[in-house]
Amino acid sequence: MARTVRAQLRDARITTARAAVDAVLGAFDRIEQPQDASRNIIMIGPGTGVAPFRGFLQERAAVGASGKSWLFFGNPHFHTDFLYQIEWQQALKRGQLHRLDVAFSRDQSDKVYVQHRLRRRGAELYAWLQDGAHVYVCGDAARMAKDVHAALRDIIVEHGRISAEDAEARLAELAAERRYARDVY
Amino acid sequence: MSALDQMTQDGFRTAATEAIKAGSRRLRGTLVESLADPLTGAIAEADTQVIKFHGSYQQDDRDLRDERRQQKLEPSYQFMIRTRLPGGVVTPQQWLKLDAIASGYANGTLRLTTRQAFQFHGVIKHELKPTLRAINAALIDTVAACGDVNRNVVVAANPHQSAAHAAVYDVARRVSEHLLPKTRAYYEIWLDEQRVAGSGEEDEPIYGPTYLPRKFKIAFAVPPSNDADIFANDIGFIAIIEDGALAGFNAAAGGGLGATHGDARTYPRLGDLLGFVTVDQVFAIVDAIVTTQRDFGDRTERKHARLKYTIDDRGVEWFKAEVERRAGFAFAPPRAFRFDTNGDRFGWTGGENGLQHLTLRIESGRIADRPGAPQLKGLREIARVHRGEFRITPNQNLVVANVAPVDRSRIDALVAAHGLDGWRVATPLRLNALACVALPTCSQAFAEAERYLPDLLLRLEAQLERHGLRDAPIGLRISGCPNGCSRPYLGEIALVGKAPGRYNLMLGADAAGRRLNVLYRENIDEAAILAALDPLFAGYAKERVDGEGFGDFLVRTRVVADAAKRTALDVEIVT
Repeated sequence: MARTVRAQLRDARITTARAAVDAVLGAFDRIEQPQDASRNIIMIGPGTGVAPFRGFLQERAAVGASGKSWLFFGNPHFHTDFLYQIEWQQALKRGQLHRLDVAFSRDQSDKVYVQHRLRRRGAELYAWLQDGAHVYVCGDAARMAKDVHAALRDIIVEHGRISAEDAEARLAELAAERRYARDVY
Repeated sequence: MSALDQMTQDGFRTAATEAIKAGSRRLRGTLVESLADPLTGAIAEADTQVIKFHGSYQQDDRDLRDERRQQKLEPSYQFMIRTRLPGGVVTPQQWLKLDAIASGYANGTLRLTTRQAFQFHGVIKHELKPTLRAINAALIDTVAACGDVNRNVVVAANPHQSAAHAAVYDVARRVSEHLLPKTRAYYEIWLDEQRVAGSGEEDEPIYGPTYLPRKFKIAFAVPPSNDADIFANDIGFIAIIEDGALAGFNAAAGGGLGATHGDARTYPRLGDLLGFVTVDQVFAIVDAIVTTQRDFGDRTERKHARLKYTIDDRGVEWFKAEVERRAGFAFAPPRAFRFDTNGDRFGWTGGENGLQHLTLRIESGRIADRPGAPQLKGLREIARVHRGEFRITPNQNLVVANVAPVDRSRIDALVAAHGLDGWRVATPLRLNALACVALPTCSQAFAEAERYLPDLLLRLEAQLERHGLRDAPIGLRISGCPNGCSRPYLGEIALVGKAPGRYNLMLGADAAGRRLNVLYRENIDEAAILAALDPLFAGYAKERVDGEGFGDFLVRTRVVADAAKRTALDVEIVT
């Protein structure tokens, strides 16, 4: 985690606010559920990054969390790589997972990743954020976390009608409040 | 499960299916939503009933079920697509398009069915719509190829009686079109036809809003060939050719082969001969029979819903009178006809029009590229040079029809180069064997059929060889379940799947589709099957009379009781 933050700090293109986000995010070793189970959660976990979210849903089911949950998952192929597919389907059916968006990058000619799905759901995502939702990102640090971060920033810019810098600041705030947490590697 | 439990379960299932049909807005259901759902390769459960009417079944690769369950993946859902292709006739141009679809969207094989359809297997949900669009672009549709409606209309392949075939084919094609559902659902969902006022409420003058209680099958035969096995159909038309022209048809009704293991109220049944109708009367008779079944068929129990049960429950006389009342005329007495085989004749035959026809053996109807026998490629090459047409036979084989004599050698060379000349050397047993698809895709299958046939044939051929019966024309049919897609109950020897590796051994049908076989040994494995057949082959080799078929021999020597329904045989008129 620390290495990721340093690596990002070295990136000349990133803004000060962005560095702040990474610094705060880097302070956490792992992501944790909100204390308040009535909060909605947005889970972004492509590839093996989805694994901790199984536990999230199980925990929330066990405590009877009233908050809603929304998962974004991606991998190369629907047929072979839809990790824990049956569990997500069951969770949806039981009302333990409320929304699921998937991106299978290699099933069509143009590559589609989770960040594309985030952008497509921008208005609703922004509404969830405004409503106090927690956002968790887990998985690849090298590209995914950056792309997802950029997508979140752009969504806040577009739907919050604020500047990119303000949006970065907003994400930094969320991170400080532990409402935006990452476990990337 | 007790018979009562079975009945109750079937009752629930039937009520559910009837409700789905009624609430489907003329076969639309929620198919559009199901296709768009990215979280599953399946469609909604109710839509699995609806999509049948569009010519497709949802299936899954049963070989992968356990593995995928352990991986926490849903079953490997995929779709079978079946064409509506009356008489199984396609042009070479259409062939090439179907071939491209097989490779581009399906599992790289074309499957010819016992109802003269092409089946594509292994199409994923995401590609269902492009696949159906590609099929329609070849001017072939899949409307009503499955479901509780009239299915693909079967016509004798009959390559050597060109004029008669053309006349019968024309009637069959018109019957198929006449009985198409009127709903625009298919065109809206798959071909993006604009919805118009009344969409979802179309009038279905023949079927009504809940369509038929169960599937419905029509076949046309041209004697002396009964390749269409017309007595296994809800309606069988027997062409009466007089002075070289089509005079009309003897109509039979109430055939059907499906049964359920352990449920004596279900059984295969041969059609009853009702009488003669002229070509002009065919449509009125078809309407009368279909609507009688629509109104009187059992809508409380699907297992008991085919026309055969409607007729048995109310009596043939009642049925005939009801049909005549609806048609507005009476059947004329049946005219003389005679069937001599329900198999195909392989190799070249000359037609009446100076053109020639080549019937190729396609084992289990599966056209694939196998090592040493790239048959899919071979037929593609043939389609590129062929100027006539292709006809699927009702026995899963293929006729390269209407070949000019000058083109014959070129086609022969392609046939030989691609392993399509098996008919030249194969035993009669091998040439006539039928197998349904069964595992891994068919959800009904209890046991292997198509995949097991090659092994089974080798063992039976070795056994026949030992008894000096290599050239005996014995009809073998194998089916993965009792529903009868390979028409097992009309096989001289038939295996009906009971459990993995275990079958019911059925014996004693004749070789022309006139007599059903009967159960000989229940639920036995391969060793027991071979052991049971061995003494029968020995007896047949020693005691058969000249020209006596194996099934006839078993009945004559009382190896199997002559208890099978003989309706069709009894009324057949031999001139």
